[in-house]
Amino acid sequence: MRRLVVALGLALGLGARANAAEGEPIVIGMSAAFSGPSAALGIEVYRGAQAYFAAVNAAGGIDGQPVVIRALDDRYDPESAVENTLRFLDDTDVVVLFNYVGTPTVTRVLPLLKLKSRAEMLLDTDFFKLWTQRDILLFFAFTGAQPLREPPYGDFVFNLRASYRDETDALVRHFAASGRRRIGVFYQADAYGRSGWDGVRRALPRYRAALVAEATYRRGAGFGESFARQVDILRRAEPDAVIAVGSYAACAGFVRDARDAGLRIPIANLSFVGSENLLAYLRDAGERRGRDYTRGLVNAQVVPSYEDLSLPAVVTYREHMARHDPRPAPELATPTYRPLPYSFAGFEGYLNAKLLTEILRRAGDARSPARLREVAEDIRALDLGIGTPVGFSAHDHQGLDRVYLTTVEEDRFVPLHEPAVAAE
Amino acid sequence: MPGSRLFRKTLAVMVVLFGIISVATSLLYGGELHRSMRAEYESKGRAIGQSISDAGVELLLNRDVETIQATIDQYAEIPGVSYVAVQESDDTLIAHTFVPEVPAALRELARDGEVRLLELPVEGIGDTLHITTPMLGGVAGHVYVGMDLGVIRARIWSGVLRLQLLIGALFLASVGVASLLVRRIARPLVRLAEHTRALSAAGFEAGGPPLDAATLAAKDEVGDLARSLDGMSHELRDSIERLRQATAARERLESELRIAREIQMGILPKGEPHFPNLPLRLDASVHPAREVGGDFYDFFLTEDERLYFAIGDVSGKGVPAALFMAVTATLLRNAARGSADPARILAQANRELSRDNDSGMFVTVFLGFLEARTGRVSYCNGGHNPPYLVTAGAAPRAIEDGRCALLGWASETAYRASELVLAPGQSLFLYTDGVTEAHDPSGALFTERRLEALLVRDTAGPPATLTAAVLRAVDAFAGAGPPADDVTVMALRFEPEGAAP
Repeated sequence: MRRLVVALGLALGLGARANAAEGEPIVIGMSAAFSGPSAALGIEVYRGAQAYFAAVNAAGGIDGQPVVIRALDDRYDPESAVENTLRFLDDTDVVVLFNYVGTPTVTRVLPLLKLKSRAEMLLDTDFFKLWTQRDILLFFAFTGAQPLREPPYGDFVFNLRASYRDETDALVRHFAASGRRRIGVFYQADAYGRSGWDGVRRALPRYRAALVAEATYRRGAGFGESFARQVDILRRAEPDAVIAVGSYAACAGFVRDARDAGLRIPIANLSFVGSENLLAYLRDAGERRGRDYTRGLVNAQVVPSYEDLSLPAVVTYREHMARHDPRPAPELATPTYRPLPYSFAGFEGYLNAKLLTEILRRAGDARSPARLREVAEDIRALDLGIGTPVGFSAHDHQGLDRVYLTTVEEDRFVPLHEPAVAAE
Repeated sequence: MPGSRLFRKTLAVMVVLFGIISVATSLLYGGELHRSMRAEYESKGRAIGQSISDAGVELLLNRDVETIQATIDQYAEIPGVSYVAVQESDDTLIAHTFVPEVPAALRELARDGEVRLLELPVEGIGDTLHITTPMLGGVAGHVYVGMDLGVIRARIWSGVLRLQLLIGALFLASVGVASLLVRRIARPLVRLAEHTRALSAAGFEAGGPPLDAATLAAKDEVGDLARSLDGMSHELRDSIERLRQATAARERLESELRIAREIQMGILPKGEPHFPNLPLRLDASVHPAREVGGDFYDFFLTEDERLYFAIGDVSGKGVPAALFMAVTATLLRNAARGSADPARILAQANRELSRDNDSGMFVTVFLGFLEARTGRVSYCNGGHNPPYLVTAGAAPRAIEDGRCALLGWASETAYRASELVLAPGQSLFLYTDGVTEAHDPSGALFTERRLEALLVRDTAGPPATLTAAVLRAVDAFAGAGPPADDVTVMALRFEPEGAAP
């Protein structure tokens, strides 16, 4: 079987090289964490997108033009994200911003989009004035935060993934359905954490649930740090479930310390956590200490499972990943990081790239932001191969709103059908 | 070393001075820094609160908590801001920067729609200047900004520390300068001290280390001291030289006096001579008050077996008296060789002595001849203390007869001789006034009474016993002091065959 896949890969590769795109590249800008505590997310989202673009480019690109991601590392730091964005805006080659990762980073970039997207006067005569709208658009950021989906910035952003509100709503609904109505929130002390916290608060009244306790941690906290104080703060309120809004290192550390402290209630994570990385930390820690830290986890996802081979997009994603195994450019490489074969984040990046490619293809030669906006807003019920149609309109830049709850079984994330059971 | 002692004192004064400076400047600087930083923090906190309040109203209305959070995160990164929080009108903190939870101190705070400042100890954060800013007069909610007072304290400490380092550096520099200065001042002093030590080590002889010209030429107090010390050492050297020369002269003089005494004593016949086959025994002795004295005695045996004897006392003491005595003794002896008449001898000598006697000196003399076979004595007393006739077992008798005037006063003085006969065993005891006028430390005189008592007691022995006893008694009486006057004694004993003992 394996030999067959390799042979198939070789055949496709050879065929692709024959048709490889050689025109002027279409450059898209991506600022994400390629180092630091959320590096895995940036790298996997990048790899997923790059796998699709590699396949597109191998097949001749878009009208003969290859798609190239110009990626810059922001280390999940808002200031760096702003700096990177300014560099993209100064670069006339960059057609569009794409695949940004993180709430605090993107939230800080949004005002920049609005500021730079202003009317420019082309002609100013006594008889008439000619104006043009120079838009800066951000396609498919890897965050479910609300400012990307609301005025005044929602106009400059197209989202594919469901929002954190959708995710938290699904989680609260799930817990309430199993009688868990005392909810605690563990969240990152920044815009991302606040977004998840706000989503939980908004969902509570709908399911007659209550926020009984909250605890924060500082962005950038690593797995090695102790989260015992946060566990203690939450535990005192005796919650039925905890929703964690954080990065994988901190959330894994929190789960570890919660379980060590005997807290056995379900702990939920949002899609941003990077489920595979979370699992890797917990598995390693569990092996070292002879414990199972992976039970009682509920992870919300905004894309279907990459294990669901009934979905055509999953099949091509796996094919393209196996064939191209894309890696970040050497200057962005983190030597200690071992890339995952597949991941939710990677699959999301893949789908983002697939949708952007469709938009670029439909835009034709004129790839001005205004044209891209027009084309994107015209997309209706597009099938990306995930069983759910995607569409936008002038008033709705939100592509999907489905949330997929998963849990860990046999070291893998599987769809959660039953209400979450208590750990151990 | 004087330099280091001076330096230690200077250092102590400097430590105290710099301590005062250090404390005073630190207090002033720290206080000033605290006031200005506190004011700056206050206005900074107010401005942050106001700007969040202005922007937050619209965001709150849009329920855009992520943007509010992103905004306050930015403000929380400003140095000195420990936290920022936004509270909705329903008391919910909708955005804040606390980790891991909202401190208890901030959960129950009064709000009244006014800007409020409050110093608040917050657990996990420390002392905070808590600034409450209302949004839309408190209707929309409130913004809380916490300014870290610990930062102010840390800045003050670091500022004060830097100030201390500066003062410390200045102190060290001043110590260095003071050390140089003190050493410059002390160096000539040290040199002066070494100079005086070397001077005394060299016994103030000339040739010691000279003071350097620079020190001597210095136009300050040290220069004055050096100059006066230099002058003093020269004076000292000169007077020591003079003393040394004087001492040498005295030593020379003393040795001359010693020789003079030897010459003088050489003039006098030695005591206790032997007169073979003659019934005579004699002992004489002189103890001059100084090296040379004015007392003398003399005796010799003539060819016709008569014993010439004489005792004299020149007025005054010392070399003049000794010279006068030598002249007198020589004159008498020469006269005695040509004549056996005591009166004639004295008259002749008196004439010689009185002539051209500008010094005004005179001499008392007792002179006589003793016929060895018969015991007959012819004598003449020229103003001298009367001798004693000493008889064993009887009181001594002063020989008052034949007293004439002393010699050297008037040239034409008449002298008359007298005679007495010594019974076998009888003695003549002659002495000068050094015996009877010897005085003890309290000033009491020896007197004839004490002498006569001795002459009763010690008559049995030979003349030497008698003279020795008298000299011993006088010595004992006078005590440790030097003799006030020359002391001369002479004893003659007539001992024909068969006489006792």
